Parts: sequence; structure tokens; C-alpha cells
Amino acid sequence: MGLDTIPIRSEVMSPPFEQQGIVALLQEISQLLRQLALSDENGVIDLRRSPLSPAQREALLTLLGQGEVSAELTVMGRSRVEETALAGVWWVTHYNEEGVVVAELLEIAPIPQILLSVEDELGESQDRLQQMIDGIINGGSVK
Amino acid sequence: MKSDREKESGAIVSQREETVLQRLRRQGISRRGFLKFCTATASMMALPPTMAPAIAAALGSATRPSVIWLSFQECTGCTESLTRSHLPTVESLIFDAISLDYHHTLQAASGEAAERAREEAMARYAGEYLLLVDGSIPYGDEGIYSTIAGVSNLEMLRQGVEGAAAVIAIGTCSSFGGLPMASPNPTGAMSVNDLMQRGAIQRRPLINIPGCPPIPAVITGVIAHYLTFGTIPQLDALHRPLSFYGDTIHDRCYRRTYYDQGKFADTFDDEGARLGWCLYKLGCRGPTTYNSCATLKWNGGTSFPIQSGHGCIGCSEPGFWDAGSFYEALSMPTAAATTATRAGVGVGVAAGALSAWQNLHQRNGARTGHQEVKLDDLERG
Repeated sequence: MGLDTIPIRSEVMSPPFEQQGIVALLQEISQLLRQLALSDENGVIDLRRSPLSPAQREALLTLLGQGEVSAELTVMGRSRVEETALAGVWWVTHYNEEGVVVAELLEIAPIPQILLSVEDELGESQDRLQQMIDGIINGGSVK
Repeated sequence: MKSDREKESGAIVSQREETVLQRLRRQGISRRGFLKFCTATASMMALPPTMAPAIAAALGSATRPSVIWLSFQECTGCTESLTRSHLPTVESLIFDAISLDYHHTLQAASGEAAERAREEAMARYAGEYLLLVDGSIPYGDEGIYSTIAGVSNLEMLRQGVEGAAAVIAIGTCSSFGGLPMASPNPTGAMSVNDLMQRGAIQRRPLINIPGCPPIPAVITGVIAHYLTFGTIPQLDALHRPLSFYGDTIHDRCYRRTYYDQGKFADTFDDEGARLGWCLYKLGCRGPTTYNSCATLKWNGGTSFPIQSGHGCIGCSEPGFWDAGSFYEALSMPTAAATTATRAGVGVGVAAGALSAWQNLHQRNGARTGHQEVKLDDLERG
């Protein structure tokens, strides 16, 4: 007896009710885009706090589509940043070291926060470069 | 020997004074790593994601508080739940951020050394440590039904509460009495709050995290909140954090729309069950249960009972074990639910409100039905 003989079918949702949650989310994105345009303020939506069924989540992914940019980060586990087909709307997924999703966000920003290099780090980079230069001048080789 | 121990405790103190950010940096975690950690923490604490920078700022200066975890009449399910966040996860990083000085299941020390660790932490951090309690406390016959190292649970809790900055009751047993308190409650089991109300232990700020067991991320989320902001989160009348227990399972359930439409599964294998309709008529306690299962879910966000086709059993509510069969609908199901099917939204909501009232009534009945049993009663059989 194979699995196909067990009468289980995947869930089918009736459209009008099913799409209510998605429409609300799209409206929230639209409002955050407006806010970004008007006041340069980034917006974030926590997808894990939104009551979406697995099917609704898939539908949302399809609706938002795939943009031109995607980035993969290796920082305390993997993180994936993907631009959607809507410029300024990014799908950000953080995984832990075991590959389990620890946060899933929609970030409405020119570029997601986690990709930026900040001032502190620029200073640190300069210091390290100086050390490299000193190392070469004094010791003849790079550590 | 003595000087070794002194050195050891010196090391513990200096480690504790290190801020969380410094500690993470020392472990080679970058700014991006820290930002990711804070984003995941905000998500876990049910805070808006825009709070991540505030968490980063607070954690950057927070030091590691001492935590003492006492286990009484319990099944270790709460600890099992907590440890389901496997190392190294965001949750475990938070545990790196506190100093867990006593937890008799997780600690390496045993016997007298373990008890000494507890006493030392209680003395050194008097008035500052965080006391975590799982399991109910037997109050009947002066608490003789459960002892650790010859000390009754009641006495150990009394001593622990005295020097605690705050108490967190983890699981339904320590929050509301849970399974050990189920009728006829042979040990006279009580919750931490019951004992505080009675004056059997001192009153301290109390957070209840009910659930049998609670969701791992809720346990760590509440601890993270305390660590981040140094305050108790906003609580409801039953001392539950509103961020996790503010809505019912039903309010946040993805099958809610079917309830509103009056579409129910009547048996576990009918067409409605296959189509993923509402499990209300099969006894789902979602409408009267306040918890985050529908959004945070279980096993790393994989699923929760309703998504797997079984109704909620209301394990995080007071008196859940005595509130009747898990497979009977909450209110007079046939009449209310049939009408709901015909009349749709309005009636569906009204039926939910009615059932909420009825379940509360049932629970109160169950609670007053509890009787303390003395040793004599047991012997009389």
C-alpha cells in the first residue's frame, strides 16, 4: 500500500476569505512605502507575527515576485536578502547555525539595514589597514 | 582549595560584569551578527521589529543577572521545551547572557555541591537574582509530599522568594496549579500566586508563563525582556505577559475565517477536516485560550496543534485538566454551531462569546470542586 492510497488532500482555501490577510499586508507595505518616500523612514513587517497559513505565505511570495538583487550573508548562520519585484521592498530571512528560520521580515527601505556598513566599522577598517601598512614597512611581510 | 574557589568566584563576578554586547564581541560576533540577534529577539519578544535598535542599545549595556531555577511537582516538560532550542541558537545566546546558577536538571553539580551553589548564589545576589519556578507546590500536610535534599518544596520556595528581585512561574503547574492540582488534588498543590495570596511566601513581582509546556521562545522571550529593559513586561489580570497572552488562539488562528463562515469539521476524517475547516465542534479550546501557538508555533515555527488537524486543549488556562472532555465543543454546540452555519459571521461570534462564558463557568466550578486531601483521608482510602 503506497501513500497515494491514503485519502488525504492538501488544503484548499476559498478565495475571498483566503485573500483578506494578504490584502491587509499589501496595504501595510503600500503605507510603509509612502512613509519612506515622504520621510525617509524605513519600515519593517515581522512576517512571523502575521497569521498567514503556509498557502498564504506562498501566495504572498508569488505576488511580490523576484527583483534584481539578492544577497547571502554568513553571520551567525545564514541570512538571505532578496529584493522583490517592487523596488524598495525586501524579503529578509535570518537562519540560525542549524538552518532554522529565526526571523522573517519584509523590509521597506532603499537598502536593508543589515547590508550597510556603518561609521564605526569604517574607522576600524582604517585602523586595520594602517596596521597592515606598518607591518609591511617594519617587518617586510603581512601578518 | 579555598583559594581556588575564591579565584573561581572572582572569575564569575568579572564575567557577570561584562555587558552582553562585550560578551558577544568577545565570541567574535560582528555588528551584523548583533543586529540579527536583536532582530530575532524582537520577533521572539513579540515586539515591533522597529524596536531592534532599542534592544541593541539596552543589551549593549546590560549585565548578566543571576538566575536560580527551582523545580517542584513537575514532569520536566518545561525544561524539555526550553532545551528544544538547540545550541547554538538565538535562545541559547540569551542563556549565555544570563548566569544560570542553579537548575537541578541542567547543572553539572549534584548533591551537596548543587545545593551549595544555590545557597551561595542566593546569598551573593540577595535582592537581585531572578527566581524561575516550574511545578506546583504541595501545601497539604506542611508540604511533606515533595522534598529536595530533605527540604520541602514549600520551604525552598519560601527561602528563594525572599531574596528574589522577581519571580517567573514557568508552566501551568507553577502558574495555576496544573495537573498536580487536578481534582481531588491529593497533595494540596498550589501555584506560586496562590501561596503569595495566602501569605505563605513573600510577595514579589510575579510573571506567569503558563502552558503545558510553554512555547520555548515565550520562556526565553520573557527572560530576554527582563534582561533588556530591566522591567516586568505588561501583564494581564492572571500575571501573563500581554505580548504573548494578549490574544486567544482563536483570534490569531489561520482557520478563523472558516469559523466566521460557519464551516466546521464534524469528525476528524470528514470532508470539512480534509479541507482544513474550523475544529470548534471537535472541542477546540482556541476561543478561550490565551497563548501564542497560532503565531509563534512549535518546533522552530514548524506547526501547531490546529495546523496538524487537532483542536487546542487549552493547556495554558487555569484548571484546564478539570474543564471537561477535550473533544466536546465549548458551548451547546449543535444549536449554536448549526445556527452559525446558516446565519454566518454575527452568530459565529456570538456563539464564541457564549462558549467563553460557559467555559469560564465550568472552570470556576472545577476550581471550587477541588478539595484538599489530608494524609488521614488517603489512609482511610
